[in-house]
Amino acid sequence: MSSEVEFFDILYLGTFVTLSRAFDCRFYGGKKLPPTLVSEMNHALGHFDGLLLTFASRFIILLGGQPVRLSYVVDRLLGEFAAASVVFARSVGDLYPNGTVGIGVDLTPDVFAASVEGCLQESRRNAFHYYSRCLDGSHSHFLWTGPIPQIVPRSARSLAVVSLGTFGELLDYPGELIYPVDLELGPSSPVVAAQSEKRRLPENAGGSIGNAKKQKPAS
Amino acid sequence: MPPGVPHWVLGTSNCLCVGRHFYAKSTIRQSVISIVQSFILGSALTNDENIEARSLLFRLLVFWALRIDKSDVNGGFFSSCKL
Repeated sequence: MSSEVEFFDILYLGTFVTLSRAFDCRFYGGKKLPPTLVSEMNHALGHFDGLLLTFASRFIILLGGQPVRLSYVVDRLLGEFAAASVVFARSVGDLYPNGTVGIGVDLTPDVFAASVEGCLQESRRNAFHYYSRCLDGSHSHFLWTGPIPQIVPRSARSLAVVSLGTFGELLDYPGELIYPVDLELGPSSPVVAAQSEKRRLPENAGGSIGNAKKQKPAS
Repeated sequence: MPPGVPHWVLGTSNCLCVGRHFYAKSTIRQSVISIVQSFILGSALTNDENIEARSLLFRLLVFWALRIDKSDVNGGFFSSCKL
């Protein structure tokens, strides 16, 4: 898993399983589902989350030389993959005379898109904003379009190098921001946010946040 | 034949065709993309949806997740996991 190819093998499979309800005719039209299907799918998704946690605890991802959180790569791939499938379905629907797509079931592209969006909202809501952007831009690439990630084992030495060069692992990659920017909160990096908070603290009369919480309102 | 390759079966006389599918780790990304495209294109592309094979992908992900917990911290996940 420490190589880029192995890393993406897992991510592609996890992405597919996350969205697999949308690609399965058994989940459309109110059909009776096989009893073990949903539990087996949820079981796999649970293991995928566990696998991501294990990976994040062992490795650091560098994109363009900058350390980013694993969630960025997962959400970006998921958003792009989901958008590409919906764009593909809409283009196929335009070609077919009755405008429906799907095997084993006749779907309109809108129903298919709603199913994909339902999977995203349920499983990884943070990816939905980027998915919408990709959809607006008619994103058609199923494959990862970002820079090739470098995967570095997480160790005291690698963490020291990472924290020396930047503010730590970035939540969002500056080369391609995928999360909505909240202008009131400022930069998305938690470390940057924490440092700016520290600079404001001496101006408070109580000193620390803990002391401020203990103060009782004057009666 | 890797996934995503258009193919057909040509019989020169009446016959029964028997074939099998499998998922390989080395082509897993092509496999999942092909499944999505096959699902959307429907009967224009394929005559068999292989819907029961989805469980294999769920189980493959579970297998990988269980296996990585036993691998060493420096990687070597798939190298110790002969698929």
